[in-house]
Amino acid sequence: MNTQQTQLKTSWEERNYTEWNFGMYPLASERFRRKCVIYQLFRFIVLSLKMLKVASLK
Amino acid sequence: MARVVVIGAGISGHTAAINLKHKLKKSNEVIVISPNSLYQWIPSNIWVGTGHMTAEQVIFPLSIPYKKLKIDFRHAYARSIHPDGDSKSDKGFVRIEYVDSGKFEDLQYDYLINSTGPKLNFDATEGLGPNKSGTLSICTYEHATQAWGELQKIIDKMKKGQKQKIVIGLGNGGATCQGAAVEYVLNVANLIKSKGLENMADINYITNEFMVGDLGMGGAYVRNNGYVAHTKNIIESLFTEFGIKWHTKNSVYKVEPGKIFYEHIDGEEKVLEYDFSMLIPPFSGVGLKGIDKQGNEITDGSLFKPNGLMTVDADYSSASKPYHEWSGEDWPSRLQNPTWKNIFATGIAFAPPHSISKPRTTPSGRPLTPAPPRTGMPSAVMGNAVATNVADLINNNKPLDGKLKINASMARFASICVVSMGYGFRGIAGTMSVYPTIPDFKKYPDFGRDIEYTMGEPGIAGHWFKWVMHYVFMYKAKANPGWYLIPD
Repeated sequence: MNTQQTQLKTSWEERNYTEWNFGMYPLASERFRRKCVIYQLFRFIVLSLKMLKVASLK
Repeated sequence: MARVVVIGAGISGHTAAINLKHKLKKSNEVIVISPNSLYQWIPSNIWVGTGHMTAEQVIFPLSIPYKKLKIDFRHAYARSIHPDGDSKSDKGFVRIEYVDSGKFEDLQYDYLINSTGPKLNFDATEGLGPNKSGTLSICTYEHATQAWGELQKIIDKMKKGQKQKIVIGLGNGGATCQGAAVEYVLNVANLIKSKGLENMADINYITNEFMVGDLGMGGAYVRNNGYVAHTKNIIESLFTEFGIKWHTKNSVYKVEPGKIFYEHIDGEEKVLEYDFSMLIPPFSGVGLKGIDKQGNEITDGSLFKPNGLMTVDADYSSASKPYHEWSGEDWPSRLQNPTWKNIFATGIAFAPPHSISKPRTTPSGRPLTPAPPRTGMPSAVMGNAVATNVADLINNNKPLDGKLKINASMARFASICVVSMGYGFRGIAGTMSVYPTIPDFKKYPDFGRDIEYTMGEPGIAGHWFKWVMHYVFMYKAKANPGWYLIPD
């Protein structure tokens, strides 16, 4: 198996000795979802309604 | 007829002033005092600092809404508050100094709302600030414009093949506004990536937070992709994605051109070099003084705390309790001074009872506690709540120590924060909401907040949301038709 690597910008040598090592990393599906216009249009409507509700909470 | 004086015309003071004028009967008078004749929508300074917007897009003259609403604006510094008046009158007044003429005037008030906002206290850290070591700030539109100018210079150097070290973060162990620093570092990283220069930049985030994602509010557990995830995971994920290196638990104590000196929580003293640095300064009171009837400064803490922030109805004794016993009940619900009950304070101007994040110090005693954030949405909500309460007191001739119409506690309302990572139609932003703003582990023992309304989600929808918010809130601040229907 030769899975394609993401090629993180911060090298393993550096990450190994610092706190920059344990973050989550988005896979291609998540990166696609973030930029998919149709899905994001739907999320924009949902978010706007949700934020209106949140802003009215007292 | 009552006269309400509002000191400050930032997000909180301006919101208070326009809502007061809207809710008060016409015979009452609203006066706003501010040394700034321009309103600025501070959340968009991030985009000014990365060249996506110009300063002119985030500011407008305050005369536009104040002429419409017939609000009396005084372009002046508020120098002192005299809550008991002086030898001539028992009525409280504010002594102001006009910016243009330098003349002084005493403005009497029936009600006073102190919304002065912060003084950018660069002096708290040796060498910090644009006028000293050359570290930048994005706290005002002028600072953000300057930051964009400097950023362009290092981008040019990167294009010529010179690797540049960028350090963005907090310039003191007691500083707040981590959200703005996170947003700026992500925007800078995204801008550099969009130019294909990511291999030429070494981007660092330095902070007083115990972990990234603390954001001055102890972090937040948010609904995210089927998990209740801590903001630490989400921000670390974004930093990993953009190749940003984070340095947490650090108290910056000195800055020299090209060098940032800081002490880590373990006591180790370190130096971080930079070619471009934006470090947010700590905030303090603006230097407004309280003066008693005899003309002596009020120094017993009844009007202002030693940090210059106004004393309100918070439980200040709670600061001595163990951290796990702190609760939302410690926070002020009236934002009213307990001694002079016709004085209120909103936004940065009120003295909080304690931090929200766990307080820490370095082994040498330097602060390592993010101050609680009271900017943006919370400051607008507080401004509106106090305006509503004061208008209700005046319109219905209610006693000052009776029940107020709205509970103005940060432990009772939500906050929304949108962290952009770029600009344009395909720009991304993380949309985050927390309810309540102050975590309450008595009511919500699992995560401290209501998970139904506490969420975080990155995507281009968030960017559209932030972009729309910019124009909607500028529309509202100009008091254009129907402005009062738009939430804070």
